[in-house]
Amino acid sequence: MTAANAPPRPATIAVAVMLAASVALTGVLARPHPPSLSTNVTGDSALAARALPYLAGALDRVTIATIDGTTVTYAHFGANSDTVYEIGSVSKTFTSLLLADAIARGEVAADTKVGALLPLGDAPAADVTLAELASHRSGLPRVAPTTIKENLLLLTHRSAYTQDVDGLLAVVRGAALRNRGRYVYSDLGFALLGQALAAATRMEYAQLVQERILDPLGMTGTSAPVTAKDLPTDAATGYDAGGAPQKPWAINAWAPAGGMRSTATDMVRYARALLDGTAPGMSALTPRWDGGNGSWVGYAWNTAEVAGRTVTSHGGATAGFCTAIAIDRANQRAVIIMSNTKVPVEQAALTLLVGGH
Amino acid sequence: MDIIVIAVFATMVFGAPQGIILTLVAAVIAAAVRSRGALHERTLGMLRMGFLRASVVFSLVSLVLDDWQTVAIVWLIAAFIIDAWRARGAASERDRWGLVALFVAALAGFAMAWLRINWVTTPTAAWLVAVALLASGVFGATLHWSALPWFAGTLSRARTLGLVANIAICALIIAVAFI
Repeated sequence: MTAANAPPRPATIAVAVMLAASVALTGVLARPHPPSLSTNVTGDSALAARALPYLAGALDRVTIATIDGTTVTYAHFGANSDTVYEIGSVSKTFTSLLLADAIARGEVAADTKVGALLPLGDAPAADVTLAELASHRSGLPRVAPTTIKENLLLLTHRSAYTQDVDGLLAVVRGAALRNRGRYVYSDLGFALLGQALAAATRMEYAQLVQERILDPLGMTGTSAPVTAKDLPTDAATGYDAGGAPQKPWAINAWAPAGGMRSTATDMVRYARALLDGTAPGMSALTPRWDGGNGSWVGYAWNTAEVAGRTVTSHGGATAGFCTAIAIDRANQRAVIIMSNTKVPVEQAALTLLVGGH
Repeated sequence: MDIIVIAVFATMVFGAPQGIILTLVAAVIAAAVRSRGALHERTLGMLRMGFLRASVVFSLVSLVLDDWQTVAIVWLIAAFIIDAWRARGAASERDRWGLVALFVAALAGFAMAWLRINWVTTPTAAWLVAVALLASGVFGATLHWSALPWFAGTLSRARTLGLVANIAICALIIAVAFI
């Protein structure tokens, strides 16, 4: 009998059992604990009950706010009106208002070419107009080509949108235009638009949005962090759809496309200003071009007929958050949903907007 | 080095499917370089190379299922468990360091599973079953440990470097999961 097939000694079996038990115990203790939607419901219980069926997949915290004329109603799951959420691409709506406002001020025109504002040389993107950027008709790709560095950042739950303005311009210079004139959603285009407006007004983007929208509307809980140092140390974080925690986003030169953070209180202020027409750059909402699927696009804002009503809306997502704002200007109604899970809430906002009137 | 560990690392760095294809191409080149004889002999020799077969199967399954991460997780965990229990009958081709490297690779598989599987929709029981299987593998490996040499065959620098690199890459995968 060889050592290889000799029966194991009792001591060996005992050690094997102990090691296997240790591995099993460690594995059990380390099992995944995905979060679940908070059961701490505050605010209007009827609104919470009405919204709950549409929040499938939402984990941890959700805030819903509805505006009906002069009445504002909140419902919170594990949050309050001042809980900070990343609003992702809803940031584009702020950039779109900045464009319309800058046009009204005479600082730029809708057909100003971006190459006249930013050093893009003879790159194809230099010929693109601000209106094309704002309506996703520039032909620029959705995002920058993925690099090794970005792959590693994504793997470690960090934002891959790290370029500063120079880095962003380098990406744009290397980008080809495809399907120019047709609606093709582009984060890169909106980042470029925000930086073009910043250049036109000789301000940083964060300063521009602060001075021209956030301050006038009294949105004190909203910010556009550029780098990680602009984030508070206890910056709110969220989860991907699978429940994996995500690091907070500060997306540098991409901020005009998706880098803002806000609260329900502030988003209600924003929505009310949009409903009563007092927000700067209101013409951004005017639907002008075919946005596909029966919708129309203005500067960032999508407009569609939903259940017989004309609804203007935009959704946003980051690695760990989703937000949606939907407004019915004719009926003076709006719905805002903010969640710290990357599960879309735009359809829920549209349903709540047209469903419960 | 374990070709699947290399494929996982390459795909993490270069993205899918680029990392998978790059690893497959590298495996084919390595197999061609190692093979000897006339063309048909070289071809047959390549087909007998375990790392090339593993790379081809991993690549095809990953690309067909369009889910390289799940394939990698199952592969890394299963490889250790199977090897731990197969060790008895093939001790001459296996050694302790190889088993340790496979165990660390299985841990990397668990780190990937913890991070990449949607545990909101996947029952936690799936994790517990995998843990039970890993524990059974540890049990089997311990039983056969004393019958295994530290190094099978001749201790070569290439093998040593390969094992160290394998363990280092797995440690990196685990670290990335929890950074």
